Order: sequence, then C-alpha cells, then structure tokens
Amino acid sequence: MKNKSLRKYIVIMLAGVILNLGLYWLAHIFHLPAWLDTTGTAFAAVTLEPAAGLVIGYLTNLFESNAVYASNSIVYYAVTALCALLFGLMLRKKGAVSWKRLPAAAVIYIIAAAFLSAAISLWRTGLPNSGWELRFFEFARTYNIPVYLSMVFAAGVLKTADTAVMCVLLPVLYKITPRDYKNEYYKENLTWKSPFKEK
Amino acid sequence: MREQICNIIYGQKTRGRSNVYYDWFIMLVAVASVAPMMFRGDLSPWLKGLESITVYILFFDYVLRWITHDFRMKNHSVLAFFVYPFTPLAIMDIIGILPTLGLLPPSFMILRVLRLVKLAQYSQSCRRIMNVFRSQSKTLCSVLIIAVAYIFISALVMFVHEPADNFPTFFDALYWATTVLTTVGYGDIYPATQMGRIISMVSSLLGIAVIAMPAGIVTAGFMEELNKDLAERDKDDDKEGENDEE
Repeated sequence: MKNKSLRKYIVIMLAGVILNLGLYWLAHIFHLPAWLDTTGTAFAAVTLEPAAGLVIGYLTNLFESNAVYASNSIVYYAVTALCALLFGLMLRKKGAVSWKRLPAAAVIYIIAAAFLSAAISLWRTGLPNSGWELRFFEFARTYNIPVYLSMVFAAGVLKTADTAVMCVLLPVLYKITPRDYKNEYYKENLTWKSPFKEK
Repeated sequence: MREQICNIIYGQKTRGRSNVYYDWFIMLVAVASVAPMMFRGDLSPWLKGLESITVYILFFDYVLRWITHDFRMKNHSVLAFFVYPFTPLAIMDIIGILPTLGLLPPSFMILRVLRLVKLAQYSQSCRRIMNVFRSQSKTLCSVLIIAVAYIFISALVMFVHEPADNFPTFFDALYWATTVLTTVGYGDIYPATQMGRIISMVSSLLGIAVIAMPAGIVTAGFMEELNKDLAERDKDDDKEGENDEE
C-alpha cells in the first residue's frame, strides 16, 4: 500500500517536472509570449496535493535558474508556489476536484502572479527578465504608465497566456490520468484558529 | 506527504535514521556553504558552484520547514504558515541565503555566517546550551547588568580623571574598560596617572569574578540538562525493555 502511494507520487511528480520543462522548452523554441512552466506544478497540486506542486515547482525553478536564468531567479519560486497553492486548494471542494472553480482560480492567479512577478523583477534587476515581457513593458511605457504598473501589465499578459493554456490542459491531463495515480479525494484539515493554542 | 516530510525534518513522531541522516546532511551543507567565505578575491568556479548548490539546498530546507510548520506547531491552522517567516530561526535562515542570491547589497554578504545558525537548530549540544540560556536568563541578565554598570562607571571615572591624550573620547574609555574587565587588555589604551592605574588593577581583579560567574552558571546548567537527557534516555530504555519482555 505504502509502495503504491510512493509510486503514485513519484510518477506524477516526475510527469509534472517533465511537463513544466517540456512546455517551457516549446514556448522557448516557438518564441511564444508565455512561459508555460507552471502547468505541471498545477497538475501535481490538483492530482495529488498542493505540497507535491510546491516540490515540483522548486525543482523546475532550480533547473531554470541554473540552466537558463541567473541563480537569483530562484526567488520566482514564490510565483510557482502561489500557483500550486491556489490551484491545489481552490479546485478542491470538500475534498473532491471541482472544475467549476477553475475560472475563479485562474483569474485570482493571473492578478496575484502578475503583481508578485513584477515585484520580484523590480527587486532583482529593476526590469522585466524575458524578451516578450520587455516588449509588453515597453509598449505600456509608451502610454506613460508608471514603471511598476508597466511591469505588472507585461507579466500579466504572459501570465494570462500561461493560465489559458493551463486551463485547457489541466482538466484533460486530470481526465487521462489513471485512477490509481491520483488522489480523487484529498482534504487539508486546516483551520483558521490561532496557531499558538496547542491541541 | 507533508506529515512525512515533517517527520523527516523534525522527527515529530519517532526519531529514526532518516531524521539523523537529514540533520547531518543539512549541518554539513550549512558548514560547506560558508567555506567560500574563507577565501579572498575572485572565487574559483568550484567554490562558486559549491556556494550556489548549498544555498539551493538550504533554500529548499527553508521551503520544507515552511510547508510543514502547522505540523511542527501541532496546530493545523492556516495562520501557522503566515507565522513561520517571522520566527527568529526562519528570519536568520532567509537572511543567510539572500546575500548569495544577489538580492541584498554586497555589504550584507557578512550575513552569510547566519547559515551556521542551522547547526544550533540541529545539534543536541547547541539545543542544550540554548535551554540553559533560557532557564538561567534572569541570573545571566543580572550578571550582565552588573558588568555593563561597572564598565560604564569605570569608563566614566577614567574619562574624567585621565588626560585627554590617553582617552580622547568616551568611546575609547568604554573600549578600555571592556578590554580590562574581560582581562583581554590589548594595551593600545592605558592609564597614565596613579589613580588610573589603581582603577585598572581593581578592574582586572573584578573582571575575573564577573567573567567567571556566567561561565559557572552556564556550565552548571549544561550539566543539569545533560543529566536530565540521560535520565530520560534511561527511562525510555526501561520502557522498551518492559515492552520486549511482554
């Protein structure tokens, strides 16, 4: 039983990393205005649990920051973590996956990720860190929009494209995943009580 | 999954081999991560690589601790996740990591030594010493207050009595009083008058007592903690023996 569960986690998490990096590579070689490197994270967060998405997101960011960007781009992990938490927690209603919640999760993710991503870029270099983002940033700047808001706009456009692809792929991937490889019922037993009162 | 991760990191339910391996691994990584600080000038690619890899591992450890903090607090509240980044150890962890990632100005590079706080988190001896400081905090504070008061008074006396050439500023007097009280005595600042020399002699004698006092308190407390741990371990062994007999 334990081995079965372990196998399920290993397979889905591996698939998530491959999906993240594969889609990122496709977006890169076709020069698409998107990153597409969070689909696998959301997939694992929904199929298994948010913590699995958090681990996959870390591995993806680790690879990207070493192979593609600078080492300090690991801080974009905050955006990936946001994705895993939002999709992993919002798409579960009483423990079961509810696709009706997908649009709401997507909208919240786009807005929050755009602001967070822009804030991190501003902290790191003061400028957007990818070609398409820079183009959208310069486009926004021609309308005299302030720097930070232009960065939010640029990140928001790319995140919208990311999320659109994710919203199409997520239900399909979940559907084609064999039952044995997904947690059809998963609930985090979290409360909003004060964390300082021990049980 | 989170519960299992928590068990590996903290050994909440049972302390098994995985906890010990994890603890040792993180301690080694923490020590290795400060190794590049021992070299001046441009670092070789090996050292740069070592620092990057170790920082990534420490960052991952930080993330794992964050996502399992509700288990650590034994209270599954969402607010536990908001509390974690503001805990003293988490603050020190993240401050130790950020300079290497270039996310803090170069003057903050010294903060990388905070990674060694990890050793305190994992080492049993460090935990014991922390417990001693916690339990003896009142006594240690009183000794500290006496020491600070004595430093201040003797510095003031020297600053007023000694010629300005020897003690140009009050900070110099404070520096002198501290080095004398702790019996370090660099000798770069010294009294020239008879009165100053008498104060210096008294300071040196008092310094031995004031410095020896906290050392004794900490040693006694450490031995107490050690005995407590040994007694607990004996109790656990007895229980295990009884279970085996049954």
